Amino acid sequence: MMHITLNNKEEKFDCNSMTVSRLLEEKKFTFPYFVVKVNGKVVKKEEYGSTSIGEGDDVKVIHMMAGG
Amino acid sequence: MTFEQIKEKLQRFTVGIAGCGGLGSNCAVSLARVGIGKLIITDFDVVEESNLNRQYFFRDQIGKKKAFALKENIEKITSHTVAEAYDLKLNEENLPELFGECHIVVEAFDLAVMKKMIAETVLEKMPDKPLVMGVGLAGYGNSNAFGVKKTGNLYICGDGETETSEDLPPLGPRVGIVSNMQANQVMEILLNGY
Repeated sequence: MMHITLNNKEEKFDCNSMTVSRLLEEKKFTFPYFVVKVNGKVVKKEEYGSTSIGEGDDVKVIHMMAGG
Repeated sequence: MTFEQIKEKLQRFTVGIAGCGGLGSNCAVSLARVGIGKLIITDFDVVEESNLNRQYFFRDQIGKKKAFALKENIEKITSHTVAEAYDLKLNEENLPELFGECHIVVEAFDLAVMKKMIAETVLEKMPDKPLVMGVGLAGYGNSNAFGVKKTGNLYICGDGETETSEDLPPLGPRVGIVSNMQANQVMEILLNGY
């Protein structure tokens, strides 16, 4: 069991760790563009598959919406 | 603080404005009105008639480069703000160079892909620099949806929900609200944080 903070909310998952890609898939983040931060550090798209999230991590997924 | 004290303090600061469209033009003008010392304004586009529903330009500026037209308008309002204008497209490489001297960067793009680019570039290459973004401003009404979310040095102004489309256009009132929330956030950071 893994507990993380996702966008300021506590979340539980039935595993010990998962990649950023997997998290995005599981939480169905559907916008085409977003910025991911893990423990305050930016994770770029090409690193989603190789960056793993574990117990106690603070994850932010920030949607970028067109308009300006 | 009196307005004189505010102006005196803000005179010392430089703010980068990434994009001179609906968010950038209005945010820059607001910051000039309160006495920011220097604005570095960038855009690669020209003023079009369709921009005039929300952007701080005039009919006789149609066809002009946005960065230079905005500099003109700022100089019509005040002589206390230096506006350094660049007609160029920002990317991962030129962004840290252009905005290196800025105390704060304001994200004022329209495309989501560009918003992502600037957020990742500033977070990665200039992690100590506050970045004030505008996200979620399409359509009209629902003023209560707006707010500012802070995560580290990233400040996100807007409703965080609406995306512009054919049926949800960007319009003066909501774009004006978000651009001025950004200006207001810049003031708060500069006046309280430095």
